[in-house]
Amino acid sequence: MSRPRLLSMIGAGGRRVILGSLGLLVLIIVLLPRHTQEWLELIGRPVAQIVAVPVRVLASLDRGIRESWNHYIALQGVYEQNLALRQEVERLRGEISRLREQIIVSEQLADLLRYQANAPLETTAARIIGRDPTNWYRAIILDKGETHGLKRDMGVIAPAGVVGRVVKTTPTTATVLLLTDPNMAVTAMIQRTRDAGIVQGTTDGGVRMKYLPPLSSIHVDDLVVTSGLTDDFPRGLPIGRIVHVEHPQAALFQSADLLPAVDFSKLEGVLVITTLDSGTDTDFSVSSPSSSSLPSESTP
Amino acid sequence: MKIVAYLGLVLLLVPLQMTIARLVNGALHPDLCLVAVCLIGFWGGWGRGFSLGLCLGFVQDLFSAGGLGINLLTKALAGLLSGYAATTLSTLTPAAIFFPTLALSMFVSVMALISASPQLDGRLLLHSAHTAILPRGLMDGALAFILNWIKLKMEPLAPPDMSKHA
Repeated sequence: MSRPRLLSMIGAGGRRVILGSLGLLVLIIVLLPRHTQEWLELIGRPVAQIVAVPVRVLASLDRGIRESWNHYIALQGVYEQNLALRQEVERLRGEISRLREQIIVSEQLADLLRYQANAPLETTAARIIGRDPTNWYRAIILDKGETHGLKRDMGVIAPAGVVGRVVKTTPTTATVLLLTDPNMAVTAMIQRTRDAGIVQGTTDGGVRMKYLPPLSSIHVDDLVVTSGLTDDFPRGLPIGRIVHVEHPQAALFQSADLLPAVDFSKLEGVLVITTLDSGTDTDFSVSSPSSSSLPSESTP
Repeated sequence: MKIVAYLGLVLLLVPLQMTIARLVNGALHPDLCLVAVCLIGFWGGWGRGFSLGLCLGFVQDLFSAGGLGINLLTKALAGLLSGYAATTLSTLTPAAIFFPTLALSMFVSVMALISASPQLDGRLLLHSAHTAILPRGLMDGALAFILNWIKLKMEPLAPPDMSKHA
């Protein structure tokens, strides 16, 4: 039976019923609790795998054009020198943070240093191939997914510090909610005073540390690191530096605005923490030599 | 044939949207999927707008940090409403398409904002209205305006097909 004949048999009324039913189905899907929507994600997996192909093609096209521009049209030497210096600065910053953390830990928790050599942290390097398609979440899309061992709630880091957390995975891609999104929160502490709090993104794209003790002697330029209380990040990863402290008179807690350690606008690749033994209480810093290196532009 | 074209649109637009978002580093950019859904709704009727909205919204939700559903619902609604809006317009001039697209974009943005913001209050809504919702609506409206203008230039003598709006 030909398609026009089939459509004419259904008729305008029939088509309205079909579309009405579809609309009702959409409403039911939206009203369902999130955990019952998992079957929808199952349906979407093959679709996501197909859509991931043009995403990769576009990402490599974009990368190719930018590489050509940067290497052949713009000043080649200056660009490469600048890139090398930036990488060196990032590495040294991470190194300073790691050393400070080690000094504090050796004074306060000397026995934990025995575990430092065996820091149980495995990472997978991934390249950023896109950003959230909706404009309403600060999120990035990675070129690796479930087939590479990535799972929901895994922590994501860069050499400079914390990037975010995996919130959605498909077989070949993963969506990472950035630290600057209001829906993202990480348990943290001030490195110098050891006061704990929660770091959360703000609606204007900043990062804020909340629930700090009212008598804490925090001040501008203090480094904030992860406290390791949750299973996604080990203790001691840099999050950012305090740029403004707020302590209203009647408030129960202090809060502080942070300058994130990671420059999210220049991120090209990240490390996903795939294995973190939460039973081992060990301080760890991202830039330790044992962690995986970032992927280069040519090798994912 | 049209189904293949629509599938191609789905496969192209969502990756393009993600790449554009990356190029502009998350700064404000038009919602290509919404503009496509609106235009298909205007040109092809509410059935096609609704169906394409369902597909594009579903794929967007697969890669978005939010839960499944909000894009599915809003894009499908946008397709449906643009199709109905087309039945009330005597001619689909670029200007006549600009304002409904602007309104639909703002509606979709407000819905997405409600879904994405854990602590939405009047102040945040007002702030978002003039920093994100309205500018993005204007971008979407302008893009729809330009694409419709190009379509009219390409087929200036095509008679209007009123049956598709029935």
